[in-house]
Amino acid sequence: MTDTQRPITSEEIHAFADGDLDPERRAEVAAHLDTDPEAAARVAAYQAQNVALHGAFDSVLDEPLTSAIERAARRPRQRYWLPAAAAALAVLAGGVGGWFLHGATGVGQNADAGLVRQASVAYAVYAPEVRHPVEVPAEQEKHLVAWLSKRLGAPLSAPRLDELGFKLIGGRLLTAAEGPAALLMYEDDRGRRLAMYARADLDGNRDTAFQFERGEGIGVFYWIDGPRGFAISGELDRAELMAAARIVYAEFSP
Amino acid sequence: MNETDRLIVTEIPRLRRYARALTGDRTAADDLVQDCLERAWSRFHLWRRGSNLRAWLFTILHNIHANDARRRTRRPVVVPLTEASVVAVVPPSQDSGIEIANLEAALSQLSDDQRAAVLLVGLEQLSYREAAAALGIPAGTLMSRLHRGRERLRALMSGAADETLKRVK
Repeated sequence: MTDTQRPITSEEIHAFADGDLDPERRAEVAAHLDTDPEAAARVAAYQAQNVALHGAFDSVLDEPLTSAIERAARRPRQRYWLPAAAAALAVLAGGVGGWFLHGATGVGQNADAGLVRQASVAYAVYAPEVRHPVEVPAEQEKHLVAWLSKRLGAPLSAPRLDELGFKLIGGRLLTAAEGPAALLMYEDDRGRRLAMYARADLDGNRDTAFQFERGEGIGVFYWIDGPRGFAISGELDRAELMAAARIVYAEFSP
Repeated sequence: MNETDRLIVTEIPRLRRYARALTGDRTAADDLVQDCLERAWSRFHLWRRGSNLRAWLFTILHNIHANDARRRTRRPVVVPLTEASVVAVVPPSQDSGIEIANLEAALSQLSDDQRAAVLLVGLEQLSYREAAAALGIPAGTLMSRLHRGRERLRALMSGAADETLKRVK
């Protein structure tokens, strides 16, 4: 074999060290290196550097993620709350009794992602209402509970949150594209509100333990138990929401 | 977590590794990765499904880093040679600790451009085309930065080796 048809370029020295040449050219360069100690020294140095870089930094691959990174790694939900809440508010302003979520597409197919979104939107839409946060007031609790149970197809009751300072002010039925949901609204004597959102028609195998999400100032504790999903939402701190969630959970779990 | 979320989560360790080597600082690196992920989600509708997600994420990470660097006044990257920054994943021996400390110190002596090129190719093993795209430069510019970076490292590391030999003698 005579001299290689094309001279070896500096770029090819790098490519050889990085394992990037096609096999035929690779063989030609390898042969050249046998005759060119300076080029061979370059290849050796670059390869040693690559090995050293891996030696120094590969351990980062195994480090546990920080919670900040974990959060950033997940598809943000805020993006899907605001358009839905705005659409629902527009429907409310028109005086329609039920309301429909429009345009809140693209969220993952998980029941729990949808649950959080719906609960948060429901809270965002109804908690600020001064005159009509609820459709049926607490004075008619028996009727309210019977009506919601019938529409959800599962027994529903209004848990007592008095020990946390929250009183039931009433509830409403939500008719979303996803299915019927109950919304019970509570209020403490500082005027702070908390909502219990409940579904009874989730498809199975989505059971979760207590989960917590927070976005746009609204915290949501939620859990799924078979076809039933519950979410406790409010502009409260996590500890208060958890206390309420615990009471509600005890009420609906055997 | 759905399929797409998982695709992105898979890339996080490599993004962290690159950011750590690029900045020389654990906190700065993790902040960079966090910013990168947030921006990736806000631009996710621009990513073509099936195209190279890893390269796309590295591009975003590098753009944020470059913007941050432009905003800060130029100052040399100081790599403190503390226990935390000397990452030893080599067989314990008298020499290896010194080699690693020298590598991180040598990396910090490279210009940002050279360091990025060397790391994207040598550590993250992006192809030359992917690395050039991540840095927003033509292939020729990448090769010249890679070459200068590697030759500089070579000079710095062999100088350090000489120091070690002098000490031993």
